[in-house]
Amino acid sequence: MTADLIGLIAGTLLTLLVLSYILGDNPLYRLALHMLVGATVGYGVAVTTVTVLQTVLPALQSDSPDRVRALIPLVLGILLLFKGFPRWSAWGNFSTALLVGVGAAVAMGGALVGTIIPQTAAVGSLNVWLREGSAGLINGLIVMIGTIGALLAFAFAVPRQPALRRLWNGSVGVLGQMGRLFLLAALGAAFGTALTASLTVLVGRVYAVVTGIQQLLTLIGMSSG
Amino acid sequence: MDRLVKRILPTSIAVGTGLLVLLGYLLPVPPLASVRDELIRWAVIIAAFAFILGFFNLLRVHSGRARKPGGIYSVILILTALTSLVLTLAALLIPSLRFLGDWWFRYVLSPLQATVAGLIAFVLAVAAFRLLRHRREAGVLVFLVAALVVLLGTLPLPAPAGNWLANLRTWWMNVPAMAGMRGLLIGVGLGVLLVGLRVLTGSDRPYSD
Amino acid sequence: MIYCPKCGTANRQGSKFCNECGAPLPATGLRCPMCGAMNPAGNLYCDRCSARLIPAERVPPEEEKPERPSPPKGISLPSVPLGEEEWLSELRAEALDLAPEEETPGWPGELEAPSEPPTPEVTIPEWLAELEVPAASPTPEAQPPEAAIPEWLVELEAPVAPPTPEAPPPESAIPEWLVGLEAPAAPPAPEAPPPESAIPEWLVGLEAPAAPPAPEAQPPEAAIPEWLVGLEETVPEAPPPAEKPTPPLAGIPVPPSGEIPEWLRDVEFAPPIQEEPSAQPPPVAEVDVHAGMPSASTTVPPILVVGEEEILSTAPAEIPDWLKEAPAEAPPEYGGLVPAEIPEWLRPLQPREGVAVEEEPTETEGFLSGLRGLLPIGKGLDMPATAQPLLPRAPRPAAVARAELLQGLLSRPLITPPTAEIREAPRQSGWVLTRFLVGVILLAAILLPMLVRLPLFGPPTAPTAEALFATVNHLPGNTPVLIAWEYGPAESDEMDRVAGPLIEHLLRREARLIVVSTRMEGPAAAEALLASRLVDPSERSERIANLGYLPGQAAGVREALGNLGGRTEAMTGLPASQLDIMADVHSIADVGMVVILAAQPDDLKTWLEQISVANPNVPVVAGVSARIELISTPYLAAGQLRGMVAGLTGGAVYERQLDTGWGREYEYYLTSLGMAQLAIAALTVIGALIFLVGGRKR
Repeated sequence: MTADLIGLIAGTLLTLLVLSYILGDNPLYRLALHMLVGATVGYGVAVTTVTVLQTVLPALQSDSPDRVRALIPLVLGILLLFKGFPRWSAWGNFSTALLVGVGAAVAMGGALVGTIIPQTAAVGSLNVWLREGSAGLINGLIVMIGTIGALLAFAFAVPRQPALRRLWNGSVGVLGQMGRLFLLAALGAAFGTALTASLTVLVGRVYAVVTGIQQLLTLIGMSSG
Repeated sequence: MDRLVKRILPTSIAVGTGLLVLLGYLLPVPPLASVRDELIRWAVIIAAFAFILGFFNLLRVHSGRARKPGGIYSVILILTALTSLVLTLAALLIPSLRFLGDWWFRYVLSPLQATVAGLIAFVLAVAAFRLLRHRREAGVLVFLVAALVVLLGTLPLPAPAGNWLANLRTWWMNVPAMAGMRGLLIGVGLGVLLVGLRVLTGSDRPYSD
Repeated sequence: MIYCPKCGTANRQGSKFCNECGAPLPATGLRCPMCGAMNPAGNLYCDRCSARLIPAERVPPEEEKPERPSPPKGISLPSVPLGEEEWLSELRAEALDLAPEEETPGWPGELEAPSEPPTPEVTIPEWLAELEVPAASPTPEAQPPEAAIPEWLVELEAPVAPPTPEAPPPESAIPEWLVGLEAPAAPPAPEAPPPESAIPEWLVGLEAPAAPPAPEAQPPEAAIPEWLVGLEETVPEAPPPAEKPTPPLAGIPVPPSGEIPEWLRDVEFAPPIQEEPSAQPPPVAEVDVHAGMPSASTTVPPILVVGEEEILSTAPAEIPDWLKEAPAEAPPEYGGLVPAEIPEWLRPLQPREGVAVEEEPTETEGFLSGLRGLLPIGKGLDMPATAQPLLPRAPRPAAVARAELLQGLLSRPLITPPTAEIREAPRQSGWVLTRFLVGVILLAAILLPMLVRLPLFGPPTAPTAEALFATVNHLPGNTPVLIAWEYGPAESDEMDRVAGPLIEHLLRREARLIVVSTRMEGPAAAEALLASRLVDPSERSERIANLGYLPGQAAGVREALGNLGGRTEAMTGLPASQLDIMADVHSIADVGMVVILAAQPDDLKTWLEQISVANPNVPVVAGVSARIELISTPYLAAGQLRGMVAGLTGGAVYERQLDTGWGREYEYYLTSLGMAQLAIAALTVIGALIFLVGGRKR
């Protein structure tokens, strides 16, 4: 009970320190922010270290093929730590190179198979449109035009030849301007939904502070009464 | 030798491993698939060490700042980080000390993270108030209308306005906003492909000095 | 002007106290016009560069100090006007004491213009004969003026026709140190401007010493001086005279052997000229003469470095007394000729015995290997230099002036525009007021429903949540469900109310929950919610497997999807393969459904993409934050997501469908959320109207 009481006080106090930002940047807010960074990083390193140990140690204790397979990434990981020393940072390039190479390949595969192909296929999916009748057809056309326009909104290259340039500005340029409006419609909606999510969290924090103060007052009242 | 260590070998490793993993995705050949899985496993372990490296770098930076004016914040950061590290390690490695980690997570880490996330609402609210302060054009008005539609349509107000707003919000999210978002997703995917190709061809070498 | 260091007021030069604030001003004095240094007011000359501080006409006679300008640096020849001629006066006196026929040796007279080649028995060395400058010289009969100037000195001004230069012996080689000497241009002499004769260059730069009074007597025919006699042995006959003036030293006879004449061998040249003008004349070369030539350390100038012309001639003559008896010390005042010395630029041309020609080192590395001398390096350049402490040097006058100007500028007080501060104040107060008002409105909107029950809002609607509910409701029992727990404490206030009903529904369907997370706080957040939603804690090990944190983002997800059995349970530390719940689950191919609980767009995208690569057929559903509701919609529309519950409203709808008993809490939350959203919408409209009507702010 004592630990929970101390924790309740600490949690409420820290919440109020952060909420003091509403009045402007102040030392209390900065104090809380630095505590947040320190606590998060320390927690993360602990979890990461235990995860690595749980992954590598059993393999090191096993028979030789698994041991070699565990030793190589362990050595590469230790080499990566040399990046913190400017004189030997070049030895960490091998580990970084492996990370970058594998990460790029994994991301490429996922982007191609998981996003580009299915989303492109869904742009002109007539059967999906017709599933909802004429309204679905109109909506589908709007979505298609909007998607193409949003992609063309990032087309900044312009042909040099005047004739091609006129054609470009007439077609791609117009679609691009239209696509910009669709992008702004999406970004505005994203702004609204982000506000909703943040407000939900703020509501939870305010409720937590009120609940904490109520509990403290109750405990103080009980102890005095 | 210097050039070998700094450029040639790392580039070869990046290109080689990347191509092996990519081929493992495209070609359903068992040996290639097992090589691919092994390389991915190595990358996962090395990525963990990258976070540890970041932790030490953070400590080093802030220990330098601690000696300068205003360094009390850096001292607090370092002390909090070390406390968090010790308590969490103890909780994860020694089952009887798990309550320490739970306490720290519930009463220190969670309130700090949650409250900072909640402050975003305050900042966004101020930004919404000052939306037309600097730019007044059609695009900004579209942005403003979209935000209002979503805000007002999330929780239905009393009918009939409430229903109409809720339906408008549903249409807005599923048609124009989704069109723009889909274009963004495809564009981001193309960008990821392009960057990956540059890495696999050695044009971009973020790993070498 | 002098600027006060305290208040910056400009004061008159010479003021000792500030007129404005009374602070003492820096000490004033006289500024040197040459170097800019400050000197005490009583100085006449600058302490640093010795320049005159006060114009000469303003200086009282008694204060004037005779100032002797320092000789130009780098020139070893006489550069000061010859004033007093004490030593010449002495010589004159001595000369007068001599017999007329002995007054002047004959050999100087023949410096003028030997009319005929020397007799064979008086063989003048070629090199000596040809040292005379060929020029239209005054005839031997030309008498010097009445001034007692030795003839040989007179002819320094008027170049003398050289003796018939002898052709250099064919077998002989001209010493290098003589070959390189170019014919200098002839400068005008102060008293007797040289005629068309070519004056050697090395004599040109020399200030012409004032012609001392030449001795009256003509040098009679005289015998070859002893110090020239020895040259007969080694010097061949002089060549016939050339019609054109030959360059001096061109026909310098060289001994057949190429050796340096003995009397030149021992010539030691004077050390470099000191920077500070020395009272003593610079030491001159010592000449060790065979036949009676006294070794005069201060009187006999080096052969090649005297006057503006060459002086040597092979005219035999007696050694003058002034050569015989050299004073022990140089006269304190220059008076006459200043003993000169071989200049620096000439010394390298002097042949040195015993010094081998140094070859450039051969390159051993790189593409220049085997070549020599291509990139010559000097002595010591190939050796690592040792750090030498540099003595502080006096700054240049221009640098001093700039530094003092900068100091003066910095000592002035800063002048700030008075309007800047006033303009800053209202902007900051307006910004603070805005923030405060917005914060108060938000907090009031959130807290009001807690105090007053406000039935403002109807029940929320979320079609996607209803569809998801139907999907989960049809899930077979004991199905392994992989849950990607991608949120932490930062989003738990919202996501717990989104994920809670979904998790509870899955538990009710008796699904086996396998939890993984790419967020470090994910496993701990999962444990907190799972503990609250699990009815019977003892069933945990049979229903839930928390496989912990996956480092590496996309790579970690890909690795986990392919190797679920190789992980470790976070709470117990046991290998997943040893858990009953994981008995038949090794990879994603063995799970019946994947549930993505994400609050960030990248997490949702990563999981969807990697699942599409690993196993596109497994059904995927999502419980997402309102923040990423929009980014989930395209995936939902494309069929990659089978169902979705988004935000607090979706969770409330799901909760209502499930009827878990948490409805009251959702109502409070929803009301506060709705009030806050209404408040922000109102603020947005008001702000838009204010700035639309009020004008754009830049």
